Amino acid sequence: MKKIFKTLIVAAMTSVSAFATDYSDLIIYINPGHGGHDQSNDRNVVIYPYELGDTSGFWESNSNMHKGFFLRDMLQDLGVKVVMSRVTNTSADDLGLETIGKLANAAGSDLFLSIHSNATGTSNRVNFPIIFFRGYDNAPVYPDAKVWSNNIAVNLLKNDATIWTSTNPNVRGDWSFQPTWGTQGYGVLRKLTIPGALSEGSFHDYIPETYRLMSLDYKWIEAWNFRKAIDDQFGLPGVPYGAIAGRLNDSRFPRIGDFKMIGDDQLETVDTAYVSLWDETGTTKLQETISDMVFNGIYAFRKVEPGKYMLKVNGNRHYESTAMVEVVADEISFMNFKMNKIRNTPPVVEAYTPQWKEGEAGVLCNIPIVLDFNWDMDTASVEAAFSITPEIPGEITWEKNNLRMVFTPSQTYQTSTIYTVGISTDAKHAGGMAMTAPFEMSFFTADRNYMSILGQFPKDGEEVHFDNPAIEVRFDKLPNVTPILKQIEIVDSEGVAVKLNTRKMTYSKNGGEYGFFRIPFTKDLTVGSEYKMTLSKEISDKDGIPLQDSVVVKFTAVDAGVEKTDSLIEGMEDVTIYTLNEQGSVDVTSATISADKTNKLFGVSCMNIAYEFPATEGSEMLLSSSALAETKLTCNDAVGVHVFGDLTANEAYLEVIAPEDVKYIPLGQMDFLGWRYIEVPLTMLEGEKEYQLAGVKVVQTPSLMSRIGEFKLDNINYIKDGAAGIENIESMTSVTVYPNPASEYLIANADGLIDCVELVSMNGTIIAKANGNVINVSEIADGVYFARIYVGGTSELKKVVVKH
Amino acid sequence: MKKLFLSVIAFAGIATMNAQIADVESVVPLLKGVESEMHNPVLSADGSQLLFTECDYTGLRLYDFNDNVVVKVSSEKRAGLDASFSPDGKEIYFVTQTLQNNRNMRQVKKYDIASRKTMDVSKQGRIVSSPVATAKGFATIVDGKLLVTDNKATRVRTEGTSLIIAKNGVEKSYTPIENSAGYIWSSLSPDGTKVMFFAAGFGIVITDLNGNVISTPGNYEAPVWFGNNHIVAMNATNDGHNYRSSQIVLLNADGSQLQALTKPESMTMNPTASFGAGKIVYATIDGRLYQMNIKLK
Repeated sequence: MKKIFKTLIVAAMTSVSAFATDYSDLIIYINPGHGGHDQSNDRNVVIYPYELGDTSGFWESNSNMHKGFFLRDMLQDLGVKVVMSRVTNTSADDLGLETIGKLANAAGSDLFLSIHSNATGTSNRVNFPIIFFRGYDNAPVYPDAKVWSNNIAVNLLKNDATIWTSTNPNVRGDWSFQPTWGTQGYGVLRKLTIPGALSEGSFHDYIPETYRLMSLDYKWIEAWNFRKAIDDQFGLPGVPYGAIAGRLNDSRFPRIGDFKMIGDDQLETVDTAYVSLWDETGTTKLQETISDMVFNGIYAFRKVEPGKYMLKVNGNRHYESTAMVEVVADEISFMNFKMNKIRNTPPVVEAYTPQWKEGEAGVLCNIPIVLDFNWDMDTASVEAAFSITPEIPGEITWEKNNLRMVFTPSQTYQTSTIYTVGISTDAKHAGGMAMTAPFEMSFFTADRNYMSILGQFPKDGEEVHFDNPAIEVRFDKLPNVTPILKQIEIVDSEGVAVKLNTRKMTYSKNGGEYGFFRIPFTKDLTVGSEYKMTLSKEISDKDGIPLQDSVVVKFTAVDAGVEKTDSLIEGMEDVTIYTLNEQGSVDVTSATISADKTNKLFGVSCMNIAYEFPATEGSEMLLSSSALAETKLTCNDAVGVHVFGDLTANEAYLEVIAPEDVKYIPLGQMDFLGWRYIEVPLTMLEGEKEYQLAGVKVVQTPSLMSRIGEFKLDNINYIKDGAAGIENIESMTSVTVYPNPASEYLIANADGLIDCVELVSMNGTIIAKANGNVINVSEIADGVYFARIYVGGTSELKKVVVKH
Repeated sequence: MKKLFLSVIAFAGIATMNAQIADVESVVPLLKGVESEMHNPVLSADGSQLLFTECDYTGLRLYDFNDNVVVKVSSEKRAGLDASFSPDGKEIYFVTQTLQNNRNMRQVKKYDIASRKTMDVSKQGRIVSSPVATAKGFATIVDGKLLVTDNKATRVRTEGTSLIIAKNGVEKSYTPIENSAGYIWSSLSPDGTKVMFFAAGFGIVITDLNGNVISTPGNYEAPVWFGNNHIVAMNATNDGHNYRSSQIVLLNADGSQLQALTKPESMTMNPTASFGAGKIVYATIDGRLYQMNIKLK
């Protein structure tokens, strides 16, 4: 009772007479900005439950006026003469800017305040005060106006019931802030003969703040801080009483809303809660109020005697919260509460993903399991109660203040498998109550749990032309290239990182048959040096499905552009002599051959052959020349050609013609990028015949990446007796190899003991070698090779295909 | 600025959608290249002299059209707010403002144009009304006390939402318009028979000398008389912060006809007029002055 009496005394002390000496001759002009609830120059922010245009909802004109009213009343209580530009909210009293300035001057005012709130005008959301004065930032027209503005900013920032995104006093000259308007400035400040400020107190397009600005208590807080700024401006003593204000939030439950929330604004507000002020011992209730009902949790006790108090907050759905608070004169003591919701029902899983029904397609093999509970959960008990069958390792994380559990598998699920997820009744919420029924859900996985590499360059053991090199990897799905540079490592033989040129990276867009990325190196490679490239198994497709394993390859830089001294087969680089041979082709959408002067190795240009097939298999393209090359080729000779591969893995051939015979010289699969020199012994030609070069052929290799290609040829050479050291592969029939094509092992059989088997590329390079008759080709790239089988001191070649 | 000037010129002779009240004979810039920002112009009754100030009414300068000379009357704060010529154009009354002990103090001053001398004609006060120049002096209110040199003269002033008309030595207060945020821009018609003021939230009001409303011509700011039957004012729009448009309008005192004299985008404002000289002077938002010569039809 004693405390109540003291409070009444304090109220009595705030009469005008007590402060007439300090305040009574002051004249303050208050301009609540905007007015009229019209969209042209008022600001309406639509917030639930108000419709657009509802004058009960948020309108800046309402908010500004309420603040003005509170400030007016506070000042008048102190004996200040206050003049307001409007006290209603109609279009009629939304005065002209010239009129407002004129009225403020005519009133003999000492200080002018235009009350506003702010909006970014963009999708960006912030919340802090900005105060404007007339003039440049560092050259105010009235120096006192900048002081006044700073006093406002400093005091508004004392409001701890809001969430500020910046707590630096933001005070600007309107000429600096709006430089395109020259020195016109804000209309209400133009004609003032006194210090004036336009206060943008907070951002009303930050929706949690919009809700706060619906609270009268919250607007009262801003008015109090304006009053404090006036005290600071004139050196006035303030009031002998204090106040208590704050914001009530749930301690854990997230706020619902499709809008930006910062800090504790992400928590549900506690509205219409009873907030009571008790004496220090908590035995005598002194005042009581109710937190605002419009989703802001704001409360305030506007007049409290200095001293220590106990605050008690009771919400309908929350446990009582208490706090001690000390009130000092002329200050608001802020006390925000985070209240624990009463957990009086058992926990249940309210929602979950993935959702799958019998008969539906399988879910992604990396999809996390998300369980949403009705209560914030005791995480340890839930994790212990969680099960997934078949078992799979993974990590459990918690979101939304323990309302959501997420299980993320650390490896992909098995394909085409039903998984069952369960939560036993051992799971409890944070209040200790257990689930009364177990939870169970199932889902079926898709038939793909790893991203496949269709082709890559370089592959292990390959040679890479040093000049303008690039790496490229092709996948069965579009890769997620955002983190790709962190997932690729290339080092030279000394372990020094080799950089890739990210700015020139190209990658697949939606719509292609396959996904890829191609990244050139920043510098040329060093001829003769060995490099190591590692593709992390973290490389994944757009759905996050990763590679099964990391890929490590070693490659060597070579100069594939060394010009051969052998005889050049003249005339065959004239691209005008080639046309698509319809009879020798199958299903070709387009085919062009052109001279490429940019990427050529020798002379003026190289041949660029571009083609497109309608599907991913079954096509062949033959480009025939109108004039045969004069050079005659026999089975003892060889041809060598520089080829710029396109990584399609399609097979390229040179067509040679003899009277009544046509043969195709295999150049191998175009499963590489950049220039490569390929030399082919012509052992497939018939012994007595002489052949002439007549065309170029491409045979499609069934693959997602085989439909479109573009490769280049430069300098086709003739090597006299180039096949003399290689036996005719048709001459020794006692040797057989199988399976052909081979994917894992290639096995050779012969009448005698086989000493060893070599796998030789089409350009004569030994790719692999094994003692005995079995050679492992499981890690050999797809392509056409020769198997060289050594039997009793002799060797025999067999053409073989490796295909995985 | 050249663009703005051209738009003002271009508009001058164009017929508007409103009835023509007057012919615009010419529009010329004033003191172009001589003075920097010039705002809030005030013409003498005969139109031969012009007062102007800075945007916030700081300082007061006098321009004489006859000899083309600009004289500094004052450099003090507020000097340009409601500065007025005596009816004979020989004196100027204005109010200055100084900050003392964190309080604004105001004082009425008189400037004698011939001698170029300024003298204090009131003591300092906290609330000082804009002086009303009359044939034999002036009248003002200093902290609630009337200071008048010619009590017989008819004069008018506003105070809050009161219209105060003095005639034959007697002041009477009227409230012709209720619920206004304040009355401002009061003036007596040249023939002394009518009173015009602006009721904030309502617009221009014309009364007789007994405070009876004769007409309400419209909601236009900063109105001034152009003769006894016409008014020149500004018609401005804003977005709550900045001006969006502002133009000068001429209207019949009964509000029956209006003629736009400048385009809305010209950002022209604060007109002053001399009916005898057929002259209107107004400012642009960036502080240029223009003289428009018009002839009533």
